[in-house]
Amino acid sequence: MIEPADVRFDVVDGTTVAHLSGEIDLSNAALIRRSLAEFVSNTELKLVVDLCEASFLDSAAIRVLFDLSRRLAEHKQQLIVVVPTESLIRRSLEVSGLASTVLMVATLEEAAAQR
Amino acid sequence: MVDRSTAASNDSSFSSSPTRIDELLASVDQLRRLQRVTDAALANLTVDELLEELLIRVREALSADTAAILLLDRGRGELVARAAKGLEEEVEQGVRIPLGRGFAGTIAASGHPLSIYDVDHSNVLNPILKEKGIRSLCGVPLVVQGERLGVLHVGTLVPRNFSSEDEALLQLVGDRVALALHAGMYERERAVARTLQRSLLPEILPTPPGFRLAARYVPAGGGEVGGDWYDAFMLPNGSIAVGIGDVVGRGLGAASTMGKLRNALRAYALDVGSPGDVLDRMDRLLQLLDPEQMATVLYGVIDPVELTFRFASAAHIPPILRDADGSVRIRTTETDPPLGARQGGTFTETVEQLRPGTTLILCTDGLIERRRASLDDGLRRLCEASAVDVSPEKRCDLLIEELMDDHELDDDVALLVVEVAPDGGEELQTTFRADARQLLVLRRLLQRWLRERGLAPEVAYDVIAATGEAAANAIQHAYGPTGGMIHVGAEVSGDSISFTVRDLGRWRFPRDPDRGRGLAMMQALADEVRISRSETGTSVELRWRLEGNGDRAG
Repeated sequence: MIEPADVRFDVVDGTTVAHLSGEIDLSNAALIRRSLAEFVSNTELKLVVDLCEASFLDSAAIRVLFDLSRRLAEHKQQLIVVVPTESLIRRSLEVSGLASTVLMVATLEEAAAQR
Repeated sequence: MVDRSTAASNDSSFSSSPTRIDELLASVDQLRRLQRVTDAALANLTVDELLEELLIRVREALSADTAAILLLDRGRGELVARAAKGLEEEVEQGVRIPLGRGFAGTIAASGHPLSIYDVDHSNVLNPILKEKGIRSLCGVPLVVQGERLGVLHVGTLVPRNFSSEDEALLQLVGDRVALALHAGMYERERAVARTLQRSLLPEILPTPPGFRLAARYVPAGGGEVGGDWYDAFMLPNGSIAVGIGDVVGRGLGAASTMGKLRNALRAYALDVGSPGDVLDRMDRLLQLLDPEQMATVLYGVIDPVELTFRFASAAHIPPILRDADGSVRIRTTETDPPLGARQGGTFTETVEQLRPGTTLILCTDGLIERRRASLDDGLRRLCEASAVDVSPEKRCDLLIEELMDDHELDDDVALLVVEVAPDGGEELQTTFRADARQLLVLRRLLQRWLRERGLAPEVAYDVIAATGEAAANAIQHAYGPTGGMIHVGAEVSGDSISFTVRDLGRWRFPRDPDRGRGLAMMQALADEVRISRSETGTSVELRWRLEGNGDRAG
């Protein structure tokens, strides 16, 4: 059975981690955008978006990450995206240019180590 | 009863003592009064106008001061004033009289006429009768086909002895009122039921990529509405939900239960997913909302990737499956009882593997039930009629035509047909509605097709992502709010694989740089992108060379 996309939040050592799972496309990107926007606070220095459980992102989903990174930058906050090295969605992030705009790491540990 | 009594009074006055001039005059007067209330012109009035006119005429004919019609509210066991003359306040104030009590309540409960010479207001519950100073009353029950609908009564301000002729005349009017009310209620009920049913059948069926759906609803002969329905909709995860059901009985009651069950199915399908659990909850809901009702329902979910059909059935007609080679089988399962038939208990889930080219046929018993034939015979006939290789739309027409031609339609019919697109080998063609929710199903279809072609997962990802971008662009830009269709075709030829995404709209070129990202991604993911725009639509062609699959990742 296929699972729809989902977003789940976690706070690890004072850093908010948004775990995105499933497939995010034009049909549900707006929903994910709203969930993320509601959760991002002003007080933190960084936001981690964990894509370890995400199996597909289209340009609508990537746009959400672009916008999020822009918004965070305006508040001197940083977006860190976690994508495993072997994940197929790396392709989308690379060809869209997101990989060269935001900090992309392979594991949650690496994201936590970022200052 | 009425005819007999009026005829009897006329007979006696004419034959036994023709010299008694008073009686003769009385008879003529009676005839004139009768004519007043049986006037054929009354037939053209609406129910409300007719009630009004009959009250005026009966008050005149009986020289009464008041006339009123009270209807029985079965649910509350009360009579409610519906129309009145000389007692208009009764209607305005919505006077309610408990069944079995007071003057009208006694008539409604006993089903017999009643006259009171001198009204004792301690026995009359209606405060308005008392305020008006009504002294004498004569009332009759309103009955149609043994069913009590209410009471008609007249009253006078001076004491009056209502004769048996008066009572008979009042009963004649009462019968006329009852018939009009009954016809009005029946017609209204049918209209409501028809509207309800129409509003509850899906206006448009989903057109998920790789599937074709068609459905029909045929009302029973005579236009009476039953409790049959079908439904098909997309679940958020891209699965296709299909349901069909049959509420026992007919008319507004059945249609209203059908509406509740249909909405419950949609709600639970979104919430729960598992067909057995959905039926279980519908069962409990039905017992709570309409404990008297029963319904057979089949609900299932088609997984567009695995091509599985997972379903549960509450005593519904089993699914019929027709495979690409023309073989037809009945998918019998363990029999669970209908909804509303037992307290608790689970519904067995069955998983059926579909294949490319498989057609799933769901129907209600009206399609196959015949008076002098068993259900098995009907199913056999359905299987025989399903063997032909036709489109789902044509199949619906054919099945209805072949199975119902020789027989009067005494039950309504719901029919739902789902076809898994046949495996086109090296070619893939699909047309679906320009709706973002279809993107997931499109990816599933492409995944399956690419897997069958043996493409490396890395190439498959690029193909799916780029084709998805082209489709998403068409969904966003080709059509206005009314939407349209999108066609995706794929082909393997020689050393390359190509995908065409076509729409019939005006592709507004994305001006927003973010929106242009989809186009840039297509160009980065595919070896070749060709976009051709014309007055009739836009076509995006994406091509990949198949050599050197291995070194494309990263």
